[in-house]
Amino acid sequence: MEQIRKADLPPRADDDAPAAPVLRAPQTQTQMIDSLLDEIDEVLEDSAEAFVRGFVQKGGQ
Amino acid sequence: MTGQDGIVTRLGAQNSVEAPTRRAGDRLGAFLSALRPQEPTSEAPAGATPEPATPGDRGASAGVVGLETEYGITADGLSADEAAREMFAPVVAWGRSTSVFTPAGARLYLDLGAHPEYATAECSTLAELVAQDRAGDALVAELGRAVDRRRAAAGRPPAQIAVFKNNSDSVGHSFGAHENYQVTREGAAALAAALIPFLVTRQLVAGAGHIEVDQRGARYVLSARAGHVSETMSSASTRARPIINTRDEPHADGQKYRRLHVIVGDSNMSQMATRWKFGATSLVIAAAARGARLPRMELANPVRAISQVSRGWREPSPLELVDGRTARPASIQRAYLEVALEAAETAEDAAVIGLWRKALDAWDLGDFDGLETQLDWLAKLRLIERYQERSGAALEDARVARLALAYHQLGPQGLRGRLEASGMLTRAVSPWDVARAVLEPPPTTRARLRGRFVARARAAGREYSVDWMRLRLGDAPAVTVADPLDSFNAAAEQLIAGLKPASGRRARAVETKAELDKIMDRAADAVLAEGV
Repeated sequence: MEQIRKADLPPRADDDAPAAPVLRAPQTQTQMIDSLLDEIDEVLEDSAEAFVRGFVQKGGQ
Repeated sequence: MTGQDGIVTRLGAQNSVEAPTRRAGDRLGAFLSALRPQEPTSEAPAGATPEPATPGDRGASAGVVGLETEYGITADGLSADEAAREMFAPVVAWGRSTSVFTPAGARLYLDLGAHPEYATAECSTLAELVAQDRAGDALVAELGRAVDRRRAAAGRPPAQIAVFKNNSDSVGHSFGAHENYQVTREGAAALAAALIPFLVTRQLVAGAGHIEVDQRGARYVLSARAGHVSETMSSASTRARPIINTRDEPHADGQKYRRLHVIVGDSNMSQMATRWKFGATSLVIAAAARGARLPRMELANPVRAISQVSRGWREPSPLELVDGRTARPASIQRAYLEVALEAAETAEDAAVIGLWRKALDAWDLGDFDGLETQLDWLAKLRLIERYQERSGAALEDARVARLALAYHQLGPQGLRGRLEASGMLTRAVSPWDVARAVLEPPPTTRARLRGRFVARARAAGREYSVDWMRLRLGDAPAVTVADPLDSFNAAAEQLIAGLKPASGRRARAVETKAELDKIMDRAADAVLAEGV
């Protein structure tokens, strides 16, 4: 009979509810993201629809 | 890929009796030194310094690995087919084919569906792999930029080709990033089966993030490829997409080795994610090769599970196992992490284990702070959510789709160079490593021979042909280098040494650099100057 290791066992039911992911970015990060978004805002506002629709290609593998 | 596609492989280092066995103390020492904070190298470029990967750490920690990336393209007023043909005109002029091996030992080609594709040379360290992969990005981006230079010279309007390293066009056609690991033939099928739960849940760390749109609306999912998987293992690659492709092309001694061809992975922009993906997968394979027992967590339905993980990440639910138990995706990853520890030896391995732990802790605690500089799905999500907050745009808004594309766009229009320069994405290798990898092969594998052979045969003005295993000059019998780790093969060295620089009329012919040679130089320059 093979020994069953702890890693093989499923977590107990009470371990089974991890907190919902917290994804709010910290303030300093938001500032960096904002300055990046400022740089590309025009590109996004301007021609996004046509650009996105134009990107159609056959599938690869 | 067709018959001659990208190389592969991973060697279980311990399969050879000659393989040095390191003492446990050495392993611990390597670990501790890797965990210690390190001084940035004096060479480090402006912006974020690469994560320490200990210079001189040349252990063949990754086995033999390679990555084939299919790129997406779009252009102004041209179909993708036309754009691809224009991009590859200098390639055809250079090698009389749309498929060539570069002086870096890599393969550059035009694949199904007009996708430019770059298969890295065989690599035996993670640093080599990351640098080669990024070199491919730089080269394909430069092929796109060169089109408008030629058009301008000919007085034609610009095509403004945009190149994306992602996995889907705007209507959901999928294309891939195919990983290759050399494994021993004996036990390869069992190994592949035992890896499935790992590969299904690996997206927790390596997923690139994706906006999935269907009749029910748009949602952000962890993996761009997960939604296209319809089989666990098969020889298909287009009509259906398996997790592992079983085509048997070892590109090595077929009696001993197989190439494990993993086609379920996303194209990663983050170097850290790329390094982790190959490092973690290699460690699990190496542990199995040493006789470690992989977790017995066979999934009841891997195809359903991979979608469940990708789509249900905000409230992860347990996956059903065949034996009736259930396991959370992060618990499955943790079980493989425990096994991987048994094979971890180098500083690169330690960095991989460190990110693995940190990411799984984040999934357990629901707090991902600090991981946004490493994980693509999180870095991209933060950009998207902030943009939505600022603009009020819904997830299905074209502006959000454009932003997601910008994350994956190569060249100066893409966001990655800016994200890395500001430290919002962490580098795993320096721009110098990448620039070198555009022009030179990795020194630790037979790609070293292939790359030098290609460069020298061209400088000599001689006819040549190469594939992953063979070097051939004119009509002479080919020299075969069967072992991917054979970087100093006597017959190949002799062949290369016999190639003298051209003289006379031939010299004048080779002195004029072909356009593709200039494009390679420019790609290396762009990496250094623009960080793209």
